[in-house]
Amino acid sequence: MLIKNKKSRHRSQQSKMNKNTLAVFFVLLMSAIFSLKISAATDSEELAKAHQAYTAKGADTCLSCHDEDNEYPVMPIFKGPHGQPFGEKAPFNNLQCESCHGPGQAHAKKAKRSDDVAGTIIHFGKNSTTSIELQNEKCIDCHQDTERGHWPGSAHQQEDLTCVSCHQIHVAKDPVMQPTTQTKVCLSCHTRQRAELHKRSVHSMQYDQLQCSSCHQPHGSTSDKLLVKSNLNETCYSCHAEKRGPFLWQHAPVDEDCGLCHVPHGSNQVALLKKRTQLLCRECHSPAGHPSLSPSATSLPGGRHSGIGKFVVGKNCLNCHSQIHGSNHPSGAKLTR
Amino acid sequence: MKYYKIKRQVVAIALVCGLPGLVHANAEDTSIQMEKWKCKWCEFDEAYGVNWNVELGLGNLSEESNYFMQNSGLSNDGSFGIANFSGQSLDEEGYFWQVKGESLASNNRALSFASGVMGSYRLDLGYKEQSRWNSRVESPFIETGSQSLNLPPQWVFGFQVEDLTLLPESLIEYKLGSKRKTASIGFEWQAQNDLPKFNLSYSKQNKKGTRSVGAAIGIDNAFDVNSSILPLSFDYDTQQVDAQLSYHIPGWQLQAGLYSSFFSDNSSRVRWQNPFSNGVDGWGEFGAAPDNHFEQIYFSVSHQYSTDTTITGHMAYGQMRQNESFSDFTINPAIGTQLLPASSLDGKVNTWTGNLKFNTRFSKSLRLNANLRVDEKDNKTITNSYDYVIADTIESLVTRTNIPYGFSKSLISSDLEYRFSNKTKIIAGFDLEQYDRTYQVRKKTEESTYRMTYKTSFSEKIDARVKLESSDRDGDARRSVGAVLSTENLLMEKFNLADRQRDHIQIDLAYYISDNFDMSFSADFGEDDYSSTSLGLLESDFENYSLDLSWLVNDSLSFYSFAGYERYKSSQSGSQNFTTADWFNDLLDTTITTGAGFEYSIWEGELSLGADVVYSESEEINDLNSEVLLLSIESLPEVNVDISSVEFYMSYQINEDTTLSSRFIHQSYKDDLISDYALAADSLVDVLLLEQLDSNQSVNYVSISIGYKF
Repeated sequence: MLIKNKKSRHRSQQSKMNKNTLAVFFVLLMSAIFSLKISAATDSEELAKAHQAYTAKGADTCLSCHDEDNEYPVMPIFKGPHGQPFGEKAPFNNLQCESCHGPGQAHAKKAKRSDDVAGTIIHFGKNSTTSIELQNEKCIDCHQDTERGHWPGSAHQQEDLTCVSCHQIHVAKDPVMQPTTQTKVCLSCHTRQRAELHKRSVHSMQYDQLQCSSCHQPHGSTSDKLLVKSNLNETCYSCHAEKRGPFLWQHAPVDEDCGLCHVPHGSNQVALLKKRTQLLCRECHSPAGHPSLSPSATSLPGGRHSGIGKFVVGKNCLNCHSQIHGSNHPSGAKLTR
Repeated sequence: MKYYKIKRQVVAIALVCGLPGLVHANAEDTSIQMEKWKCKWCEFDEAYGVNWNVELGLGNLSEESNYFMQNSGLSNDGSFGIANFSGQSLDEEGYFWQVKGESLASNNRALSFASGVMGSYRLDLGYKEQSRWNSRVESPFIETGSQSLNLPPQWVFGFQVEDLTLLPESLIEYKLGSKRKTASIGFEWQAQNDLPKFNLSYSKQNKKGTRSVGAAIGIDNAFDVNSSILPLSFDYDTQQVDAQLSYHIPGWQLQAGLYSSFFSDNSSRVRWQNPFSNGVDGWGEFGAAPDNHFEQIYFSVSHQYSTDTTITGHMAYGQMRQNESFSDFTINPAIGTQLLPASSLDGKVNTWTGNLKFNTRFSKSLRLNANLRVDEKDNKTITNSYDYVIADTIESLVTRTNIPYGFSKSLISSDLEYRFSNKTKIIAGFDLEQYDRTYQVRKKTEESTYRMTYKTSFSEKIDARVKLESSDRDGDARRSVGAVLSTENLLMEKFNLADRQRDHIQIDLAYYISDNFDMSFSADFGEDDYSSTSLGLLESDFENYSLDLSWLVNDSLSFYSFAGYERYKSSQSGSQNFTTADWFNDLLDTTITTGAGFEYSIWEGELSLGADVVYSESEEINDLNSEVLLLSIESLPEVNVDISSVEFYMSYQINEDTTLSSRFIHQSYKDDLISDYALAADSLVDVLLLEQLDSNQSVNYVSISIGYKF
């Protein structure tokens, strides 16, 4: 047995800092931050100071310009959920257009004079002069739920995304909310995943059988990779509950992390495996006998050692060890039953 | 377990964070004269009333292409109908209903209904079928419908596949894949904005299909084991219930819920007739997936302490249970085994996940994210000694003890972001992940990760991002695990437990040539170095490049194109002589993906046209070497997979209510070697394989439909 003394010493030193140290670090950190009097003025406040006055006639003021012929037409909003006056939080049950865009009197006056209107209202989008925080704050003001509660610090927030990076508001149907168009929206940024979806083995996403949101919660979550469940395995078990167990004979990596053997978006191997099983299994198993044999072409049909072809051909290791996710058969210790 | 202290502290912090409360000022502009806000140009009535859309049509699939069917859900070649409809109603009180039927004439149909009052309550009902067909194969086994696979009555038995003389004429075609049927109901209710919101969802999914399963069995009471690949049908039911109560008050979002999942396999075990029993009517058996269930309660709280500070906590406690009755050690009557130590496993695994996130903006420039996450599987399953019958043929002299694996994982991470300007920022982050596993040769591993991201704009037109990440994993000394009966080579380092140095660089560039024309480039490099490993995975690295172009020529015409290159390389070693490493395999896996498309609309949108072209080419090369001259080895042959597709679609608005749509897809799939070197059922000496039918197919899909709205 390998005894790595140097590493052991290193580990024992490091272990002293873990657990309690980490928790104490968090407590101190939070105490320090809570004790701060956070004085930074928010973007909302700043904008409100600059342009306090609302329009005289609300949406009618806005719609007098933003009709179908305007550079920024907005009328399709009335075919979608944001254009309906129902519910306490609905924009058109509150300050209408200015529920989201903020006080618009200065904007309307400048626009009438054909002046530069930049910065006069809350404007959404990539080229907006409105800060990302304020853009998102206006949406989250109404869309307050636990999902959005995880937005701060999430991967998409750190990438400086705004809500309208993915969502369209002034439309009858928001493409990212439609099963047939959602994947296209996500893949416009996630180019690596787009390439993976054209591999040999994939989840059925090419023709919209599944959507990105089947597994991911883009607004933030408590798990890694913005998953809908608490961790990867729980997410996978939602659809693959037969692999959940607990089994009498477990395969340890299965219980730990499905991602140790599988990739989720696409693979050139069968069953979304990272590698062909001849190689993948041998990354962890090398006992005496057949599992330690090299994955050699001489074992292929017609080869010099084709008599041992079952270790590299067909389902190879799984020709016999078929219950790879676990077995509940009393004689299934080697995952063959 | 080991992290109770942390868990208690997480809970305590979560509670403490909740105490301060929030002073919330909701300023209102009292100067607004709402009586003048008549919204007379608001076209609310655009959505009022009842609207229906009906689409009917025909389609044709030229042949059964495994790859196309796997992704499209179509299950047969030939003609098929297209039948879609949707209806919706909304009135001035906000009451709505929506009904939708999709692909009703195919095996991929979906039907849904929703009704409620906007902003108050909503009821959803749904039914969906999803098919996924992977490949067509042939096998001599005949499914009798009771999880029993028989051979033809006249079957000629033999020791080896070549002795199975009736094999060629006994082959029957099977289609591997599955079909899911899901029925669901959901209800969401919130009486008013300041009251809790209640969500309840229930779904029942049946998954039925045929899969390939290896079934090993001994021959003539010897240790020699043969195998058959079975076309095994399965029939699973999964029910899921999720009940949530959410409450939002200014500055607080609370959620509590209960999630349950029940799985049942409608067969308890599988038996198959042994084709190798040399005249003896032998049978083998393995267990089906055991019925199991998982219950979880969870609680989330998100507190906006101030406009710049948010604290989020999440806790979930669950239990996985399984108590399916055991089958016997073997169905071979010639083997006398001892009684089972228990009639069932009574497996129980407690799961615990906790997450505490803290996010604050000290100023407009400085932001901190901190996160503490705990994920634990505490396996409470009782261990016992079990007889071990090898492949229903011979009883091992050594009993086996089940190993209740469990682990506890904790992650602490923090990111400090400093923004120099609106377009430029730097993020420095640190992660510390610890694993504490039971019954594994390495109990503890710890991985620390440092990362830095720099985002900037070189000008109004060029954005850039560079991300660097480096992590180092090590752990305690390897140990012998008493319960594990293993003859594993002691030099083997399992890759998920081994020391590892991981480095990753990502570079992204976006060039906005104009408001309507942009291009982006991304490059990704990663390397894993297992320098302490002498047997197992030694190193791996990848490169990934992608280039995207997007051009919105005008309101009517848009183009896009992309190209990607991915290379994955890894090296591993093994020991055929059960000593030090004596063979080494280098794997090189490359994929090139390119695509382009356009969308064009003319005649004020009456005619819309579009096309997408995608080509993907993958290549796998193995290079097998040995330092031992006596080892006679050769590298596995190269494998290529080429996938290409061309899609055209159009829609023509004949009049205000009638639309004609059409779609054409040509897809070609080609791989060099079918299903990992197995071509025919008799390719091997001692494994009766599934005969693989040709998967190199070109398929044409065409559809035409007419839609009418009223």
